[in-house]
Amino acid sequence: MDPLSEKQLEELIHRELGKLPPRRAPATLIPRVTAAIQARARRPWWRRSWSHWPRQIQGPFVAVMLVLAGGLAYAGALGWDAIQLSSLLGGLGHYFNFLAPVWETAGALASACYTVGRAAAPRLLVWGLAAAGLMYLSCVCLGTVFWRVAFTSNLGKN
Amino acid sequence: MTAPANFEDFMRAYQDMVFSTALRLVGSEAEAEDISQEVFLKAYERYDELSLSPTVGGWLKTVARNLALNHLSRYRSRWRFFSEMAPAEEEAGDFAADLPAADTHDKTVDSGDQRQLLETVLQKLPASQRVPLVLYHFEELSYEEIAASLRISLGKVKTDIRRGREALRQKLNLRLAEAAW
Repeated sequence: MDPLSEKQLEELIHRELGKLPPRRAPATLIPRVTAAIQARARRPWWRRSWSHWPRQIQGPFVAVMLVLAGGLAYAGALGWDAIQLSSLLGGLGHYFNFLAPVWETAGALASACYTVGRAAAPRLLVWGLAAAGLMYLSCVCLGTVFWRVAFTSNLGKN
Repeated sequence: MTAPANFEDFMRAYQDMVFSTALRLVGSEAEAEDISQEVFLKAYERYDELSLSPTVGGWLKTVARNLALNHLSRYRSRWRFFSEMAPAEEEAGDFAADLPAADTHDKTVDSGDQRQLLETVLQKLPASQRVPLVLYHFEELSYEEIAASLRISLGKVKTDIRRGREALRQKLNLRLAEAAW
């Protein structure tokens, strides 16, 4: 066998591989894809991603979710006011006498957190909601940017 | 959402290219068909945009390549696929038994058979050699891009590609003088 330098071998292999025609796809491929597309089309709207939901459902869905989130936040705030933490801890502590030392420490910590939380509750709620909103917006914006960069650059490059 | 007739024409135009890309990377016809199906389902979701794009072939090829690489890294045991441990002789020995010995290779075999043989030998290379070799020679990625895609070192990419080329040459008894098939 002729000794080939690495460069010669690279060129030879590149030339030979370049002559290979594309492999013929199996005849079953197109029917399989078509069947998969039809199966997707048959899925009910609620099993598709949100962006494919009917327009007349998307709007009310957002409204319902907003009301639900608002209601939960409101109920949470009301519940927070209604809870008598010390009596609740006392009641539970009855069943866990054997853990009394740990329980006392945990109770003291919980009471301290409760006092701090209660003092700062309205402000904390506003800041918490603002932070959550900002995080959500950043996710949407960054996701959109990454998606566009990734897919648009692929399309543009090729 | 039913496939329009022109989407079938679209698939017919690109199916061989997509299937070949996937097959040469994963080395299995059944897996390549699954990947090709996934590629066309993705294409269908963006068909309005893609059907107008002059670079649709490149997009399909890139998606097929990425899905094939994802498939390989997901479903093959990592130690085997990116093995730093397996000696080249052992890897080459995996497929040598299935192939005709180099000195029995008849020089009068027509070019169609030789290409078939080359395709077979390529497909029987161990994945650790075949994948970087295919990425380099078919997908025309640089060594650096291959190293980044496969998350392996640049040195290993070069070694695996060199071993793959050597294995092809040995199995096919390629010589410079015979290069004009």
